[in-house]
Amino acid sequence: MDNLLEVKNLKKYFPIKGGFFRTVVGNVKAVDDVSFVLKKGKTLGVVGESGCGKSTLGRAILRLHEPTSGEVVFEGKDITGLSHEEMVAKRREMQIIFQDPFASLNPRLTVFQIIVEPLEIHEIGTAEERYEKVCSLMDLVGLRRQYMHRYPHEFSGGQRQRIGIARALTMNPKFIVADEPVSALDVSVQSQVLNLIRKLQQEFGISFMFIAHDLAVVQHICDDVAVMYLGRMVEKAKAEDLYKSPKHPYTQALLSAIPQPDPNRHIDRIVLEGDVPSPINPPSGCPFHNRCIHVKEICKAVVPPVINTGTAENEHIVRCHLFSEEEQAKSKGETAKPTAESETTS
Amino acid sequence: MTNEQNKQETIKKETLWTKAVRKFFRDKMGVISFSIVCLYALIALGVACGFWATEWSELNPDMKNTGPSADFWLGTNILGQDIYQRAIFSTKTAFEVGLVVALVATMLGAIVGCLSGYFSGTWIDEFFLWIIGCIDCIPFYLFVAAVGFAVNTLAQNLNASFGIEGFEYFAMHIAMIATFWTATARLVRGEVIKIKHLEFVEAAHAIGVPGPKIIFKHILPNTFHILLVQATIAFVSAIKSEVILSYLGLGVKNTVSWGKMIAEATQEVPAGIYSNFFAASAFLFVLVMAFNIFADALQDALDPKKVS
Amino acid sequence: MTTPLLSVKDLVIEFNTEHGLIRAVDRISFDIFEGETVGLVGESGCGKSITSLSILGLIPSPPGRIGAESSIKYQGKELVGLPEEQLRLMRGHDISMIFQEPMTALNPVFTVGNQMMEVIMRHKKVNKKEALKMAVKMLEDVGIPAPEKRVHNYPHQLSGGMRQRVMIAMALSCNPHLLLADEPTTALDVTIQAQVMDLMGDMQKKQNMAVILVTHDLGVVAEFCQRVIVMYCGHIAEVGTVDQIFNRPQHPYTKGLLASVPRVLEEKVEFLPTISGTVPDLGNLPKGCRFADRCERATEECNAKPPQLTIDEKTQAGVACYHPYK
Ligand SMILES: Nc1ncnc2c1ncn2[C@@H]1O[C@H](COP(=O)(O)OP(=O)(O)OP(=O)(O)O)[C@@H](O)[C@H]1O
Ligand SMILES: Nc1ncnc2c1ncn2[C@@H]1O[C@H](COP(=O)(O)OP(=O)(O)OP(=O)(O)O)[C@@H](O)[C@H]1O
Ligand SMILES: [Mg+2]
Ligand SMILES: [Mg+2]
Repeated sequence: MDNLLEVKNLKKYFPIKGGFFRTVVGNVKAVDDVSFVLKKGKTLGVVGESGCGKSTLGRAILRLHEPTSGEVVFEGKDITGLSHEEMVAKRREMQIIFQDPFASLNPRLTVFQIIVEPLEIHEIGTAEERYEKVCSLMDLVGLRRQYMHRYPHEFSGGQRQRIGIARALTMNPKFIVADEPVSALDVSVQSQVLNLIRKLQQEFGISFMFIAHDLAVVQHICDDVAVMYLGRMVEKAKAEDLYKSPKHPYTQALLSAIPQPDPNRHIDRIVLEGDVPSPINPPSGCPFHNRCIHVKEICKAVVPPVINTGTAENEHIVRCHLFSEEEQAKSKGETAKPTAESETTS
Repeated sequence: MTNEQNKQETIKKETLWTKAVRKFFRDKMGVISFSIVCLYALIALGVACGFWATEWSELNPDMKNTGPSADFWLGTNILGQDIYQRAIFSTKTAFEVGLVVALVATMLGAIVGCLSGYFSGTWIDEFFLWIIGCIDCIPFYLFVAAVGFAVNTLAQNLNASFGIEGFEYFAMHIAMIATFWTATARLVRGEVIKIKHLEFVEAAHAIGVPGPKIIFKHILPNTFHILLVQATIAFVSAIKSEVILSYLGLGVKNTVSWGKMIAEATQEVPAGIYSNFFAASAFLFVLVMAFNIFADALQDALDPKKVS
Repeated sequence: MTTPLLSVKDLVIEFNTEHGLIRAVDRISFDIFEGETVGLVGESGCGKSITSLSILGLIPSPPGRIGAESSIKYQGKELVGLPEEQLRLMRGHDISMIFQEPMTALNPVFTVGNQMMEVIMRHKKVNKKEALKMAVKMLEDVGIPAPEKRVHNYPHQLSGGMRQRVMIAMALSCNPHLLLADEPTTALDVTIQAQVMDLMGDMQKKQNMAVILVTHDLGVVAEFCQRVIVMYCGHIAEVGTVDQIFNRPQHPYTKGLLASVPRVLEEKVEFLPTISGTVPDLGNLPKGCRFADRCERATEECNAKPPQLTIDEKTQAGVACYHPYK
């Protein structure tokens, strides 16, 4: 059993209330039918544009948002049905790191109080043991012990992010959702925090779900990468495979849109038309069809199935009609399949 | 490294509060008004301890309506009571009313606001909002009169059946508390709704912190700046309302207050005797003025946007 | 070499804070030439935004002020100390600005069309009808679908990318010679960012204007700029062409910054190189080079006196470092 986490058909809809009696008039399909498997000690990167449901997915897995339907199997046990008390106990094993280093720490508590809180809640250790634990955590994330009794606002963004990481590590979790932990940081600070996360992966074998909108960051830190679009997971594969041969047209556009900090390398940019549609009123069929350059009739009507274009061992999952079996049969030899290699080096 | 250490040293003691205090003390008007408020507080404390103004109710039948003299600095009233002593004694009444009302109303507002905000969108919130709405609909003096009347009746019943005495003394306090807490509750509710979506609250959930602890450890302390300002506002309003209520005969019983003195003066002023009226008004005016300036300065000092 | 379009000399920007006077920008000098795109990069708080604001005389004062010896010359005309009315005439007409957050830069209670017409009518002598026509034309130019309908929309009815297009349309409506773009795409998604940057590039070529692109995204700079100014803590660390800065960085800070960016499609490295330490506090600056305590090449000399930036007249490149990489 080396599957740590298995997510099956997870959905999270937020009801939209309206009208005079505030009845439910619709749903925001923030996460729509997402499934994946995360192995022990591995890191899954989740990328996608703003509002595509990355944070909601992370929070639904931890049940910070109650999932609408679907299963979250953690160490062989479905946690969506757990009672409140059982869930509190499970929280020792699943933690979260937040994006905003300024909003994620209570301004009225000292660093010590913040890091020690999980131990107090779960009544672990004596006062001295807790103190020792906090000291070792601060050493681990690279904060000086002298800073223990300071308040968060006395620290820089990078240092605060370390405090948040230390808090998540207090209970020795097996799984951490990192929700854009470096997006708010400067480049030079970002690399410090990324290295810290890397160290935690290696030393403690913690599994991460690493949410980001920066594909370069994700590639650096993740084993597998999943691309989300409008609440759906449109592609998922091993990091190298996904970056070398992206299959879904959206992934290709996304990859080509990243500006490269290297004037010698030039990528033929695929500039998408239009904006990301609203998840309140998603397009019918494939949610990407109104921006896709390979759009066909079927895309407008039918939601694409989940297709594995890789091997059973080495999955490369795509949700796109271009890869469904009939299509592939039809277009053998033709060029309907989007060219995977769009990179040229000048 | 040493440089960084120095930097950390210099900002070490800068908590939100020390920052606010430092800002406050750079505001000259704020400091002056604060000193005046402190002086009043000292006077009130002295009265409460029986150091001065102990003869405020003493009657001097042969000294009715006299002008200022060495014995009676501000003269005497129609019953021959020392106006100066009465005005000083009233300071204690004012502070007592102000403090009791401000503390209880703010605490009540904080708790209701916190619960209402935390459970926003559920029936708990709807229920509290409904109560707040109802109370806010009733005209203030009408409501106070009604509550005062009800409490008086209750006090009589208590006295009759349980032998509890002096409950009617608090009729006015209760009436004011019942109206003043709603403003605080509304403000706190809004702030709590804002705070509860911040990531540190979510982090607390993720650790497994139970609900009540999240409310009282993580959320409520972060509304403290609002509570402090609301308490100062309630304090001033209570003192002013007390004057008006006492003037209308709905105020404190068995003691003296500036409002009562002004009420007495209604009979004296037509006769050309102003000392009662002026003494009470002047004491009241200076305190309210000073307290308002103090409250403004405090608000500025606590405003996180202005604390850079 | 031709005379520069914009010439900034010894620019000093100070702020009066409760901890005393801080110098957020300290004697920086640079030139901008016609038609070129210059990237202004650096860490958060290093003074990029206020430098670009100072060109338009938009430094909030108080608490801010521009130092006495500073000089900002636009086409030979001194802008520092120019009366407010004259500056206002230049804004939008000769020099335009685009801000990071399009929602705060647009007035939420007026329609997009109203706001665009106001700008047009201020600088061109046209009546309302013509102004509206021009507004629609501009929206069409920046690629907004159904522009005749969209002019009557309020800002909140547009998506972030569309708002930023409207901002660009407004900024370009009077054919400025110089465009100051302060992080125009930081608030946008990558695919939308690509759209907006493409658009800016097109418009720039069409109108042959100079652009100062403020950003902290080195990728954006590498793709869209010809020259780069690297700032660190209120100083200019290095100036050079994109090729020089990215391929042969001389300043240790520039080198460190470039190394610490993770890149797509490159061999995975276990740990990213980092610059240790943090940026010094503006209220408590070191005596010498501001980068010295994070720099591995620092010597006594660096701690004693800050190095001067000397810009080569011919190549317009230079570095402020005693021990630059060669
Ligand atoms: N509590 C909520 N109630 C209603 N709708 C919500 C709620 N939280 C999120 N949403 C909606 O769900 C969608 C997905 O939001 P989510 O925060 O997961 O996006 P994201 O991918 O994390 O975006 P970002 O990159 O901006 O953080 C959005 O359209 C958002 O408006
Ligand atoms: N109104 C102000 N009052 C006091 N200090 C200010 C003010 N505006 C800016 N500063 C200071 O000037 C410095 C530079 O600010 P600026 O906004 O130019 O940074 P920046 O390089 O644009 O950073 P970012 O990338 O975060 O936008 C900051 O350290 C800031 O503290
Ligand atoms: Mg998010
Ligand atoms: Mg800026």
